[in-house]
Amino acid sequence: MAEKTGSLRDISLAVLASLIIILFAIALVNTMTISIPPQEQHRWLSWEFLTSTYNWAVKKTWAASPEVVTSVLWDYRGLDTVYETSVFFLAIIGGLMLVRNYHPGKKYSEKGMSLIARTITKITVVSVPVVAASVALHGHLTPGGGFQGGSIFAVASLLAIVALGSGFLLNRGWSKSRLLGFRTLGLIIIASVALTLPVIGLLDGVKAYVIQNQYKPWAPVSFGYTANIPFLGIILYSGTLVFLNLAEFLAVSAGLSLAFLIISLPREELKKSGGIE
Amino acid sequence: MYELVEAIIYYVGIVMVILGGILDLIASIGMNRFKNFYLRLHAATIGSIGGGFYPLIGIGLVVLTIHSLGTMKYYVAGIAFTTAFFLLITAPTGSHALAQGAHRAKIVLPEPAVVNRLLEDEEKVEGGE
Repeated sequence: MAEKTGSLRDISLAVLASLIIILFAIALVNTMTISIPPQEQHRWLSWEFLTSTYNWAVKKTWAASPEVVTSVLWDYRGLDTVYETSVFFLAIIGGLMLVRNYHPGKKYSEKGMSLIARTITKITVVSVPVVAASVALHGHLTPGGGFQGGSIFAVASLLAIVALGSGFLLNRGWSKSRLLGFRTLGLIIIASVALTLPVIGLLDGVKAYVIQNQYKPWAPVSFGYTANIPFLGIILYSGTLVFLNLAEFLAVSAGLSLAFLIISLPREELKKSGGIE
Repeated sequence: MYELVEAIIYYVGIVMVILGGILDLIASIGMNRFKNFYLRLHAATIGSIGGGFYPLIGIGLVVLTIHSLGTMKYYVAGIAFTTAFFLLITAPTGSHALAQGAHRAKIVLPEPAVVNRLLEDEEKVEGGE
């Protein structure tokens, strides 16, 4: 098996390949795109967001959150993210269309991997949702957010499906309609948070925007940004951001778990239902 | 006395980080030189445990002795120890699942092998059913 290595042809090919890669990299950086800015400086756009999202002095353009990415996603361009969430919802619906004739039976096999893999998976599966909830709940303070937390949560259900058998979740009531219900509940919460302030503005006769977060001088309605909770003291919740992150977490974790469950359905039963060839 | 204990913890941590680097090198040599899937899996596990678990423990120990970090050192050390624990329990499980899957699907057979009791048992089970 062991070939004689290090012939002249191999070495020259390797040198040629690395030369081509280096030349392309230099050409890409220097001529084809704008050059890489020095790391000490910001471009004007990033400077704009960095100095306005958590600026307590200028409250008319702030988002009350030290996390710039979440502020941009759910406040400055919040409507765009709402549309993204609905696109994801439609993608899940499209996945469900493939198995629309399939009606789940009574029992599924819980035969997964070996005893070693099952035991370790049972330890890991309970600790992954903790990380997911932490990422989602701190979405307005540290990097992360609803989508990221939901994706991490879906890893737990994927682990359970692969190592413990698809019956582990299906026999415990993770049915198609229930997961879709949680998905829809998340979307309803997002929609109601987005529409609360316009409705209040309409009733009060003042101007208010859809998915508005903080107080503006020309649109004097707000979700507030700090709350005084007993035993915890004053905490920063950044207006709509924490509610939207939680709703997105619910929606994404249910949606991705549903997608993985659909993928893991046994082929014979799908054939029996007549949905697929 | 306290400073002596601290110095020992610091140097143990440094040694663990260096040991992790050496084990990673050994694992990569093994990945290249071993001829069989199962032998290479063995080298890969050396890389994930020796090159992942030991340096994480070492970093956790070193950070505990750096006082200029303030309370931040407990966060770093805690995250390092937690990650090391999960690496310790999941990396062998992953290689076990890989080896078992490859053996059960009969994609790769261990060779050269003097005796293969697992294959005999599997054939016995399949014949009995």
